[in-house]
Amino acid sequence: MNPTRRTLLGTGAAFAAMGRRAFAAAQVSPIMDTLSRYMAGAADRPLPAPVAERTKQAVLDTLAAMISGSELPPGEIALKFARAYKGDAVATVVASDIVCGPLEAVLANGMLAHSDETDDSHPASLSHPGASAVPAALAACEKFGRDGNRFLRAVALGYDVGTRVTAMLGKQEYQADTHLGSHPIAGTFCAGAAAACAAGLNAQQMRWLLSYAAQQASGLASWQRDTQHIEKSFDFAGMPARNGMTAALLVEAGGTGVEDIFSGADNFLLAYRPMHDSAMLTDGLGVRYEVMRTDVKKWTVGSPIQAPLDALDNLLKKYRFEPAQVKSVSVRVGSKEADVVDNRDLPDISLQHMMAVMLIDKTASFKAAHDAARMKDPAVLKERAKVTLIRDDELEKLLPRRVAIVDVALTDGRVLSERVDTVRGTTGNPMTREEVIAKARDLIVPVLGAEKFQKLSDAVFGLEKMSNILDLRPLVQKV
Amino acid sequence: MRRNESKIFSRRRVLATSAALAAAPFAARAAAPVPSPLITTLSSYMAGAANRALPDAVVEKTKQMILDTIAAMVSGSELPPGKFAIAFARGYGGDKVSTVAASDIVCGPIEAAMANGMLAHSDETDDTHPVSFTHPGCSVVPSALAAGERFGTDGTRLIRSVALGYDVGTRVTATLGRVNYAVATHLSTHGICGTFGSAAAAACAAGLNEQQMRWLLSYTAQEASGLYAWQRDTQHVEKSFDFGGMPARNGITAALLVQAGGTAVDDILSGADNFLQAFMPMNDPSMLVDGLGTRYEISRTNVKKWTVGAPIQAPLDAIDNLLKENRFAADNVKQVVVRVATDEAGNVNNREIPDICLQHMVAVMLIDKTASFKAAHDVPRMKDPTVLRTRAKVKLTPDADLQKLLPARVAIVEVTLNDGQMLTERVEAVRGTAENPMTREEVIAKARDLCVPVLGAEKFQKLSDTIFALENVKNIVELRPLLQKA
Repeated sequence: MNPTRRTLLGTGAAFAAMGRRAFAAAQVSPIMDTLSRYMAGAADRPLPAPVAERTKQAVLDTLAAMISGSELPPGEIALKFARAYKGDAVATVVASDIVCGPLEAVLANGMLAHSDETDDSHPASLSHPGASAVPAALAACEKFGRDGNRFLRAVALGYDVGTRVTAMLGKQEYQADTHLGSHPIAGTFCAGAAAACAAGLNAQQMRWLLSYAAQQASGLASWQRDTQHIEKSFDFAGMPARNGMTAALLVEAGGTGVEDIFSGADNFLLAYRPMHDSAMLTDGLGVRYEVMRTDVKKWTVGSPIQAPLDALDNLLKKYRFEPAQVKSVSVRVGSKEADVVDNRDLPDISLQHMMAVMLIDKTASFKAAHDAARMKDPAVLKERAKVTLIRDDELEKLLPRRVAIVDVALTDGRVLSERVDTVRGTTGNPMTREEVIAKARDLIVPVLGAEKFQKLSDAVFGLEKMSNILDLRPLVQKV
Repeated sequence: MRRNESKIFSRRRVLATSAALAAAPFAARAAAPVPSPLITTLSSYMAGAANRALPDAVVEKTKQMILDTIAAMVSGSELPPGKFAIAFARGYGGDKVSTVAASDIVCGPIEAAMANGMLAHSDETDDTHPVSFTHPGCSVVPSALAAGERFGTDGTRLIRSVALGYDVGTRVTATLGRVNYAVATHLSTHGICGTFGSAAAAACAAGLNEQQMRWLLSYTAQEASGLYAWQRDTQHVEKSFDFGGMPARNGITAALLVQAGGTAVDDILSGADNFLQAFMPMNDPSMLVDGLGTRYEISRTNVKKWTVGAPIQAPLDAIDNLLKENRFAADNVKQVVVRVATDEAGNVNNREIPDICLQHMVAVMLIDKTASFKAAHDVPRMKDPTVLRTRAKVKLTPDADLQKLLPARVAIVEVTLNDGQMLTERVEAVRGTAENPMTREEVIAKARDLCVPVLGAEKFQKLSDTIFALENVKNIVELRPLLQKA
């Protein structure tokens, strides 16, 4: 954010290519015009069926992350926060009996959603869109009494707008260069767009909304240094959800703003200097739905552990062996990935521990991933001793694709080998609806019970029939 | 570290950072164990502020700032952004914890801080701090007030909270490089300063300890935002959010989160991806703590005597001086030439609303012999033939030499009377600025002009008396009936 960076990043060309003179006359740039119109139309524009389906999955998946997160420290803090400062009975705080003001509700729900790392992620933008878009859409739909269709559209719009912003900025490379956090920036725009859609803003109001959102776009890459994950849950989700919600509520209440924050003096692009052409902001709108390019985390563990668990899961299903038959397990992942999960002190980020758990349990549940006591269980330690993690420079070259090779040597001399090129749940290897429900069940039932979970799951997948989103409240709360 | 997807992103391009940053002793310490000496100094200072007595002069000035900001809030309630802010708080009000001024709303502290922040910058009547290119009061006071109510603090704590807010927030953007920084980066010093200032103020009210203050700064740095594009906002609603509402909301959120038990990065001013790396200050980061406990920034904060755009103030001072010395009537005036810095002239040249139109306000003062808040917001009067006749005599001259004196806003006014007499007045330091401060009585007089039309004279008097005796207030909730319209 310094003049020196401008020359380094050199965005002038991209910006100039927008045709400044052309929009000087029209008051609004072509990009802004396209974007704001698209956003304004989203409330009444039906989604393609596969998109609606995928959106439901994302909704459920995010709710699952939120509900399960309620029993982790960041979630507890979020609930405490909302309880202490709750406002009018407008918006639901999930996994609680709190109904409060929309700002507190989205802040709390966002933090709940990113209490763990179970929420979705969008690699093309280096963001976690669901954790901010869903809470914002939910609270805004409650506030404005919207139906299930609107809720779906609001969420999808959130993904489409927010992810495009940080994809344009330049994701990992941008974050490394600028020390800014792509997650909160994306999330602020995700939540803003989602809430604005729920509120039913028109094109001009959408432009104002983007100005309010741009004013609030913040966040440092220093989230990487947060050890307790409470700040991180705020950085990734609570803060951006609150930001976006604030923007939408202000504009809905009559707030006006700068007409075009993507052009003109001191605009967002000048300040943030994207690495890519600003046309990416609108590229493929209505065609490429970013919710489709969003990854679901099948195993609620650190990213580098997912492909190894997939591989072991595949092997277990194919060969049905028991821990006693296993002599050794070698796991190859990208070298830097390996460093992040090598014998760590918490279960869900310790590769060796999670592999041992899966050998014994034949799965890797949310409960197991957070059962710190079990790390001292002799039965687990016995299996863990068989697991070797190998830093693989060849696999490192394939990043951001997280490829893993797992070799299981059995006591009878056989060596079973499995290579996972695409993690289950990522775009290239998507989970089925049933798998998403199964994951959600694992996360939700311990908190809300099986019966309520089933109703919730059914309601989400039947959202088109829901006339008021408030019908969701009893299904996501503990009373 | 609990979660670290991050290390894969560690292939950082080596950035040629600015000379200022490289020169900082800070860079050498980046690898040192956290917390750095810098943040240790800052956070321990902040943690101690709740129990550390302020010098008398600072206490006095702080009271004035509080009253001045409240006056801005109360009077702002009848302007469109203020009305809007109240409607907003009414729609999204929370528990009855914090007061929204000039209303009957008592709501959650986040909404209250945001609404009060917008109220405070509904107009341009709130204070300014040139050294940091900010408006500290419009976010710091609402945040301190809302947090103080939430935690039931006494009047003394309120004063300390506010002063701390000014001290922390303004140092941040003074370090960044104030207006030059805004121009170079397109970022908003107002949004950034207000966020840090409000956080510090609310944190002081919440009674956070040293470690919590460090965490607070990390939350705050995460929230630091704002674009210089606020200059392009024409309706002032967004601007009231950008300057007051947003930073107040940000700051109190950070404080409430930490008070509720939130933890965070221990030192956001050093180590990987720290605030300074991301924001690249133009000045040495040691400025963040320079003079803490010695130089109180609230003392370098300007009060706006005339509730008009900043470039119009010195010209009004000059005419006020001339009118008091020479007692001439508007009809006796043949011509008025006003010289101000070139950039300043551009901002106030024949603008469409009264309080930022230099020619109009000069005409009003010639006629009224003062420039009231009411007059500064009386749009129909811009078409009054009497005013227009006088306005036709006013000539605004951009002056390149005065431009060089910025940020000191110097004005030269030359009044030519019908009899050929030429009166000249040069104002070096606007009345209300640190160099030419207003007295307590002048501050009260200004506040009276702003508050009485909304709250009435009796309530205003009580409010004024209470503010200046804040040490006797056991719980600042006592301020509520004095701030509100029943």
